[in-house]
Amino acid sequence: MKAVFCGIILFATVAGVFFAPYFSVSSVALVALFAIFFIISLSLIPEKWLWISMIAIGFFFFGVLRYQQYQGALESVTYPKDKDIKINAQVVEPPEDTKKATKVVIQDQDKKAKFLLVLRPFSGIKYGDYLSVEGKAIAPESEGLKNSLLVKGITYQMLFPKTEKVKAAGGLSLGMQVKNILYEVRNRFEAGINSTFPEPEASFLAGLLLGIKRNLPDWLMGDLQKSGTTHIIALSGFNITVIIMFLRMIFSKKSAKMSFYAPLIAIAGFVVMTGSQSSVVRAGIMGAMMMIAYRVGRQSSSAMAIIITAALMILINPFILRFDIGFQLSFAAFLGIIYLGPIFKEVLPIKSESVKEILAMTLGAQVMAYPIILYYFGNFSLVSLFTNMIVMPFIPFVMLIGFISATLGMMWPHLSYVLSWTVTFALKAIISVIHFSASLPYASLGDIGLSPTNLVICYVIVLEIVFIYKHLKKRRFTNGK
Amino acid sequence: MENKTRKIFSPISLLVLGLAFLGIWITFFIPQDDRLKVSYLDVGQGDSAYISFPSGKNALIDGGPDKKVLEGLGRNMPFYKRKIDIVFLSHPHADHLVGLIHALSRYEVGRVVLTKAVHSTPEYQEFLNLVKEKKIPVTEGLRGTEFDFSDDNKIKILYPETTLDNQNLNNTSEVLLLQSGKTQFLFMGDLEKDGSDRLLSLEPSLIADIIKVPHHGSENALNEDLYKKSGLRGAVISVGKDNMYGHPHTELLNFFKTNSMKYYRTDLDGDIVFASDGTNINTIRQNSFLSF
Repeated sequence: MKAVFCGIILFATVAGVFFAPYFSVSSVALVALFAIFFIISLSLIPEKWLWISMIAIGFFFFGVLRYQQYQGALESVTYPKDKDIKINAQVVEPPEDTKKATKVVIQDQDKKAKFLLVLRPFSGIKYGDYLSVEGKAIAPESEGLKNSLLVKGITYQMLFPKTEKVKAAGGLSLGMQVKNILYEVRNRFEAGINSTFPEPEASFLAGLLLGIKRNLPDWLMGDLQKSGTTHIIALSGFNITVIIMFLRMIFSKKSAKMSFYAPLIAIAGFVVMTGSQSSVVRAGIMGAMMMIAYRVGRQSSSAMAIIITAALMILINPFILRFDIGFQLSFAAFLGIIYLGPIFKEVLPIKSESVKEILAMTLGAQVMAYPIILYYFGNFSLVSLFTNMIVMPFIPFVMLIGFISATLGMMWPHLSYVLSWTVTFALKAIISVIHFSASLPYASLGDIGLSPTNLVICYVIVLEIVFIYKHLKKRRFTNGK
Repeated sequence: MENKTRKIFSPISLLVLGLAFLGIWITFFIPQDDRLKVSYLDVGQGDSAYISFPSGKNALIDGGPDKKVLEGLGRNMPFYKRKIDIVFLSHPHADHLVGLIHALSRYEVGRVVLTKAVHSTPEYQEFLNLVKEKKIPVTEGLRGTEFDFSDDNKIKILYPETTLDNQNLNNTSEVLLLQSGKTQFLFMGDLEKDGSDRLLSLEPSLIADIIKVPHHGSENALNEDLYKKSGLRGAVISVGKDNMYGHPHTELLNFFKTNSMKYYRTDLDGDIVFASDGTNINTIRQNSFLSF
């Protein structure tokens, strides 16, 4: 009963955040609505459910309010339209080089609003620099871009503004110093990969280990999409899942302690290595929660732990629920591991326990995450299952050896040569499989975007399967008795 | 307990060993094609050519406009090679330069050859900084300089004859002649008509088997005298698909067609690779990213 109660509250809060954009009413109206529900419910429902639903409604509006308060705070700062403005700002995120431009996130020092600057490459701007920027502040027009920026707290864009470095980075706050160090680590590591491997293997491995996909050539990006394997290079949540499963598998037979701590340490290392972008941090926290839940031991408690963490993260930044694809995918992947993994494990006709376990878990994660991928990328890959079955078993191996040889490459390139050749071959093989399966006729059916309704239906089907399975199992169990 | 752990590890360690063995085998025991290879890389709208010599040395001439050159190198260099012995920059325009910045930061580079032409773009500054930071020796590219790659292979610089200042940058382009036995490859950079006229007056008996057409086949670089030399077997136009400059110019293509000259285009053919044994030149197909 306690769990049900807790679940209802969490669900109501998250639902509130989710539906918040549809409530364009003031908080007064919310309270009024609340009161109406209160009166109706008084006369209709039995007492126990009355209270629960009352509290649920309360938490629902709590979610709505949290979302609107967060959005309001972000959007309260405005700049004149169609007029050049001049601001003093500091670079607050590490600059990112894309193929044609450098993207820099700055924060206005007066109004505290965040801007995304698009600059010419080789601008020489570093994290923490103080800039004087002159240009037009543009509020992003397309919904997709606007939302993806809002998740990061960015409300405006400036395209190729006049930029002048006023003062180099210095006197950084402690938080920024730590971030700077982490960012340096990531850069060094990426440089290690780049100086050890040729292209396109280097950018593929950078995607795999660091979630950096900006260097991937377009043809390879297209092949990944067509073969339904984009998730292996782009989505940090997925990588964390793989790390956890792989280490657990290795250590599970050895010692319970190791199989708990090794993945935890690996997650921490991974978060540090990827430069601690917030999406990776979120996925890392969820991964850690899952490990702790495993340790405690019950399936329901691990699910609950992840749901509570997710709900807390949503309350801290309500935008991630709708707009952070990485968050959604890692959440789905973890649920898939917990609920679908055991089902696959019983169904799969494979002898080796460890292979079966890892295959079942990854399959579970994929099935759960796939509708979301379909919803966003609208690309239904017919060869996806086939390609993933071939490629997936190699991924943890490539990640591990690739990590070691890139680390060695960072320190002493000659030492990493033979090891890096091994990875180069494995990567070549993986890329070949992906390239081959993407080039098959009818490999992918484009434009099968799921509508939101269909997305919900997909998950209802998955839920039904879980229920049916559990029901059957219970019956088999009682019959056997 | 012990046995089970070993069971888990054995397929993985076997795989590692197997792949490492395969790597070593391919590196050391598969006979290498010991011909000179010249690859005009498909880098989009820009210029880049990679040369590998029979002695195992290699050279890169220009780097194209972006990171695409890295893929080109991935396709044409053996996977275990992490060094480029000599890098030529014909002139500091971005479509020849930016790729070199990426190549310099990823590969060990033995020497950089560039002209003293001044260009104040951030890209060029970055390039010079990188050269300085990595302590790469620099040679000024002037007429008369020669680089020997043994087995009768050398690269000669034919142009410019003096340090050129305050000029149309295209006309400061280094012109390189690669000689391998009796075969010759000419790299024209972005030299425009007045520049190539000057080159022809300096080098009246200039001949080459393969010429890299100057300035992506643009109109202002069309110099018919350049192609009327005897012995010219083919022309390579390094150009991007649907580029906004209208390169290569139809007049040039018509000229090639009416004179029934063989020409290759990187936008249509991808990487264009020639192999020379000192007397004969053959084209090699190389469209896979799997290069050993």
